[in-house]
Amino acid sequence: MMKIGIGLPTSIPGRGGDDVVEWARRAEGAGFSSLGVVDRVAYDAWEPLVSLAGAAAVTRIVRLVSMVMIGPIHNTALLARQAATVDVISAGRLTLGLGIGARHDDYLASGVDPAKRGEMLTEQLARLRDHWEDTTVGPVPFQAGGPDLLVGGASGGALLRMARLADGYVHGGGPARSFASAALRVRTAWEDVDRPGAPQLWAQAYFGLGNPDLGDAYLRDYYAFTGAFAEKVVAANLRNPLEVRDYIRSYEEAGCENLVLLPTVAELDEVDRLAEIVSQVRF
Amino acid sequence: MVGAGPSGLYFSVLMARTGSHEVTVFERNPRGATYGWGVVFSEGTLAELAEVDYLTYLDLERSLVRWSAIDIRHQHSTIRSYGHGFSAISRHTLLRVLEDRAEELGVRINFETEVSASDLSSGDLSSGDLGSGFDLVVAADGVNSGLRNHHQRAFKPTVHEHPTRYIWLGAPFAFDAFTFVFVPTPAGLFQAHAYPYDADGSTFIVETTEETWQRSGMNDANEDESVAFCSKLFADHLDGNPLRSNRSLWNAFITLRNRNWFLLEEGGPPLVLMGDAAHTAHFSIGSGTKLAMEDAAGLYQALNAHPDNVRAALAEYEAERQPPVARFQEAARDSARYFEFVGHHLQLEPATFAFNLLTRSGRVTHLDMERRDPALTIAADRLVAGVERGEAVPPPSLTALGIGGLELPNRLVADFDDASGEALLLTPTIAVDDVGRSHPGSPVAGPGALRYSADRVGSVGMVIGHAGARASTRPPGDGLDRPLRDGGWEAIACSAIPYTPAHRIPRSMSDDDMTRVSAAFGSAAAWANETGFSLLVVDAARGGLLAGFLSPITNQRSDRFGGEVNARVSFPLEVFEKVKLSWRGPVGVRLSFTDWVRGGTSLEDSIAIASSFASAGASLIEVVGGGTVAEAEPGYRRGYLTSIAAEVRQRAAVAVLVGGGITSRNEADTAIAAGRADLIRIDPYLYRRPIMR
Repeated sequence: MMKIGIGLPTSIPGRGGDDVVEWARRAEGAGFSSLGVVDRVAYDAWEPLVSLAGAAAVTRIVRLVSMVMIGPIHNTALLARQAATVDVISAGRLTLGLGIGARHDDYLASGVDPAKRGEMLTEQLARLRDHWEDTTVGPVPFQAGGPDLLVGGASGGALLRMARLADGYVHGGGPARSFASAALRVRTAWEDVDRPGAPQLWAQAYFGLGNPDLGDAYLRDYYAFTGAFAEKVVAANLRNPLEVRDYIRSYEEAGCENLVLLPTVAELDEVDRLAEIVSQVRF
Repeated sequence: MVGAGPSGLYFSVLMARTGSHEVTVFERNPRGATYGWGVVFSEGTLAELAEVDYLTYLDLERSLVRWSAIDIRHQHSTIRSYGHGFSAISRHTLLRVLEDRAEELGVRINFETEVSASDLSSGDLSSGDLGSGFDLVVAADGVNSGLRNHHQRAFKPTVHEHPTRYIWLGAPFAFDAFTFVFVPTPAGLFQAHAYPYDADGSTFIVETTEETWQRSGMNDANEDESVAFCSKLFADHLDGNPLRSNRSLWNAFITLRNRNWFLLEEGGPPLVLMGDAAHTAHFSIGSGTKLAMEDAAGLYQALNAHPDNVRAALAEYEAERQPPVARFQEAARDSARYFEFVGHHLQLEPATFAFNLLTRSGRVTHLDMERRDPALTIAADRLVAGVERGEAVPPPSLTALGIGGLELPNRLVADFDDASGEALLLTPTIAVDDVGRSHPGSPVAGPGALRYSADRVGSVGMVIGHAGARASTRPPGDGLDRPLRDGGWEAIACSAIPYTPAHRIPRSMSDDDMTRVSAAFGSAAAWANETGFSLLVVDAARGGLLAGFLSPITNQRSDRFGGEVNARVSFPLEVFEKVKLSWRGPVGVRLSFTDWVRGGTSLEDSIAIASSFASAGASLIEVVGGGTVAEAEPGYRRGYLTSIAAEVRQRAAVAVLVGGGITSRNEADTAIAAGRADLIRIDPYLYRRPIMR
């Protein structure tokens, strides 16, 4: 059965420190399987791994997942060390999702040239594993060989990178049929490179239940850099119980294994509202 | 509304019909100045048109020509296939009906009125002569849309020019079926796509490859010469009638895609793309007008669903319309590719040729064909099975096949450890010696590989290879191509090029290395004689040692093993011959037919390579792709290697095994009945997950 996680409101301006910690606690209490964080540098958003470390401290079983961090803007050895640290603090609950990101200004702000970001991510994925296995840098991760790696991006190059070096794929959002067709290509890539086993399939969507207009406004702001595309993200925002239920069912049917629902409103009640809907789907 | 083509007019009708919108249309051309002959609709499109606006549908319905047959005329034979419901209408009539209906509903159509992007941005449209206070501007101004071009950065268009040439002509009578005509000439093959659009007219599109077009002199021909040439070429199929022209010229088809379909600008009305301005799909699946009119219905419905929120409506329009359009573009690409290569498939048996043509776009499968035209499907299946009329015929994938003396009871192939009834099981690549191992735990020919020759229901093919530049890495479970921590052993390769920046530079192979490797392949083959294997497959794919010789990217040698394709294939061929001499049974070869990067092995070179192995006695070619370099851009999608397999099968005249995004028995049946492949590897994971198909 598909597992359902919830995002932490770390990238929503105005969230309070206490609230996010409490959010993590409540989410675990409500039975969500994972806590997700997104990554943007040039925005009022918290650092993803530091946020997950905070969440780790107040939870015991929930999985902690970045979906996705912008890999190439990070120094690989330091990223390996940070991730290993979170993995140790959380007793092996970290899943590290990485991508190349969509914004040049994140690279600009980080002082990294985006020109070769695809190749940089490929090399980074291999080097992260080397660091974790060889234990030359940082602590020995709790999970043998280090946290599982997920890669976002559905281009041929991104899928090849995922199949060669990661453990699974994170879908960027949208209707279930687009997930299904991406999943076919993910699986095809995996078969193509002859990797043993099967790729993990993760996906995400935004929700805003108590005050969906506030959530829409946040998405419009967060995705302003994409121009008209922001309206598509807004249109896909799950604004009521029916939409959430339909989305969950359709993704489950499409073969998704882990769906993380990301908040657009940083009110703690959103956790309970979502939990109630999820429990209805499940029983 | 900019553009009074089918989508622009249809959208205007739908909006005006509500009574709550005012629509003004601007059209550059005069009334009645239409280009092109007829347009095709499927039954599904008509049903949708009927649902969206019944009155327009009724008007159109009166002028439709309907038929269900497809004729395939090849040399002097005609195969007629039934069961394919189509309708068509003359483009002129379509526009007239839509114009009348629009004007009746109060839409103002301003013919001979050009609207440019500067008119919009300078506010002329909203304050000047043309009208005032527009809430939305729709760009339905065709594939060369000036409005879109002005805002390229926002819409992010990409174009692909197809490597064939076509000319859009008319025939002065109605064909009684959708008709494909193939006419070989000394310059090469020409084909016509013809269909009726009213009682006495047909669209007649002539297409050929760019090379044939040039050899035939048509690259220098003017309109009259082109029409005369085509009329003469297809005279047998025109009952002596000349073809008609309508400013017709030879063109290369352009497939257009836009990342974004709408634009929100400060201070101006939103701008949205529709029809050809937003996308095109190769004419050989006849869907341009259908997609355009579906866009119109889609935008109308989205605006209806969000009456007070144009932004949300545009987002919904784009989200609803992009996926089906992308699917049609993919199907159109497969169809276009079929016609690009059809000249190589003319020797197929007529029923197989027809089945291949009818299933070319991937939208019609074996199951569909069984429903639509059981007679033709059984005829194609019989050809696969080699059984006579009157005998029962199994589905193609469950038909027996003999390759090089090996009798396989069905056409399905699986990995050794993932078998469930497939006739042929392939081992992982077994290294011919220790240096050729991918990682320390890789199986090596000899006692360690014996477990793979154990009894299985199917025949087992042992895949032998040498990892070359990809040797000496960590086990693949946690990622491929990560060099061993202590550096491992020294790898050897065609040229001294490391597989990734983290790899040690491999040793460029000396003559001694070649002798040793060749001998190791021979010994591995000889050892296999003592085992239960039924087939050997030489792995010359995916960046291994032999593959390294084949691709110009990894082969930079200046000796007799480098340079042109004949030189690059020579060492792998030597190895193949060694294997063939040492082994009692049939030998196959696994080849990467594309490197998925610029400057990689061309398809022509790949076919030449496959042909060399076939001539040297290979009984089977396994078609795979990529692996040549670590960073590439593979075109993963459903059945993404099948059209390459078809080329190899026809041109190298050898049995072909292919997999790659093949998810069901039905897809396997389709590929085999169409003559694209002999053996199929269905993805075992996808096979068990129907939704992902």
